[in-house]
Amino acid sequence: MNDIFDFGRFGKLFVYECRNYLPRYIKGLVVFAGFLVAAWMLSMSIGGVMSDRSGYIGVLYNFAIFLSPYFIYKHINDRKRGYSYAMIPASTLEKLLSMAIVSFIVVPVAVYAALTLTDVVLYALSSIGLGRFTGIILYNPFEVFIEDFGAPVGNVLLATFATISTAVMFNSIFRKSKIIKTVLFNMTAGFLLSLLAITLVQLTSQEFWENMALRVEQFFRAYTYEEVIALYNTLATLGHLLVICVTLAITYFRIKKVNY
Amino acid sequence: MIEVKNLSFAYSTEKVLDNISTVFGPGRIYGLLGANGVGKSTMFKLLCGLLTTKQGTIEIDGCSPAGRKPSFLSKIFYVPEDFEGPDMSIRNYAGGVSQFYPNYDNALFGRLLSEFEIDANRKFTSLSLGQRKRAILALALSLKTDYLFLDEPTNGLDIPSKAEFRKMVAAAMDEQRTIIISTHQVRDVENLLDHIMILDKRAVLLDRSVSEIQSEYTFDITSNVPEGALYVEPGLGGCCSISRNTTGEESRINIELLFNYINSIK
Repeated sequence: MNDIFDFGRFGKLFVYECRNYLPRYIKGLVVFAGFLVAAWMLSMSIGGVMSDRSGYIGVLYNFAIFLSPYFIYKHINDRKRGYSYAMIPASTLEKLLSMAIVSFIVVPVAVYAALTLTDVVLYALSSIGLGRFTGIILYNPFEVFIEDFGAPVGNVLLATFATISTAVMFNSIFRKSKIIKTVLFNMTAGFLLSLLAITLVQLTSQEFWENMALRVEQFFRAYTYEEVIALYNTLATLGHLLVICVTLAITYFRIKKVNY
Repeated sequence: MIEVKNLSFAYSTEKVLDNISTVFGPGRIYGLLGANGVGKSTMFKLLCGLLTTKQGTIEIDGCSPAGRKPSFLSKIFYVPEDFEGPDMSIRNYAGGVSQFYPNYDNALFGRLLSEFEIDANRKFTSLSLGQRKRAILALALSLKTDYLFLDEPTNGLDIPSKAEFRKMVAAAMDEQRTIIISTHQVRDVENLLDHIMILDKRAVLLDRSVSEIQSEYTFDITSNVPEGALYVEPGLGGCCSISRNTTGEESRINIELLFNYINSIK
């Protein structure tokens, strides 16, 4: 028996996870679709036309997919209930891959389908205009996210995956109050990094920053706007890939080594 | 075969297992006994790879449990004391879990569920503790793994279910299988065990087969304290005693008495 990766066993695990965990999440999807209906009703009751629903849908979409690991894989490191996950006869690599596919692909597609369906039903039942979301998203599902940034679809996808993989990692690290701890950890990390940056700026001479500003100006003069954007996108892609690799690696070792 | 060598384990500062060595062979049912907190559940978790050994080694068929390799995990099944079960039907759960175990017997599972009077279409969350326990025990026995670890399996079972449980475990035994049962309710498993291990916080107090115990000790109930008794407790029918077996005749083991005796001389 191949103890690292077996395609047949991975397939069984993936189906097992979809059957066992996703019904729980589908209940959540209904709640999120309910939020959209509530937002629509509120908008109608105060005389709004709600012709542009992309904002509501974007926020709900992001909440739904980024929080999904905390609900679907909530018990994987629970001291009492997590043992059943740990004892599934599949390798850590298979478990991680299945978790990644469920979190990166299955859940976003399911959320997208649920919200689009709700939006289409709302449109059909009401006299509101078609609006931007339903009309555009049927051709380009990512336009709603990318038009403000001018970023390529691949980068947007990677940024989404990086955020999801971070959620997957924190879900595997924290045993209880996972979402609150994730928020607090990120706030603390952000605060400490800001503090560090401020301290560094204060410790550095003004001459250094003047030189730096000069170099940046020279840089922008040397390259066209498109070239600068391309460089930014390349750096962003590399950054997202790094985040995905690091967070998934930490999740792998956490799944492998967690004690119950 | 399970080989435990010089095993020690501690939670933070509290040591629960200290330098324990033993062997669990195939074709036997082991009773793992001990007071609360001596490390029986910890021992199970170590055997399953749910905890990592701090000192010493555990090998199950030459494989370290801590690696949680699929080939190893498909050979073992662990039923914890307080099994909660997922929010899904017994049938769906069993269908999902069983595909990872090559020797799973679906017909046996159906038969055991019906003997335990459990409806496979019911969700775990709608069942009482005893019903959940019966359902998971039926699955555990049907998976036909080489190693089965049962932590307080009769806890929560009603009287008829306890009798069914004994019957099923006895029927499930074969030459390849090793079953380890941890329990405080020793009377529930008295006639099942082939081997008794009594754990203390710092040592294995007793690690003997039932036949060895029977050839060494005589268990008796008499109206008066027998001469040369090693240990005596008042009981309903008179004095329950343990004496050296000088006649060579085997008596039925009173595990509770044995446990108290062993603990009194530690």
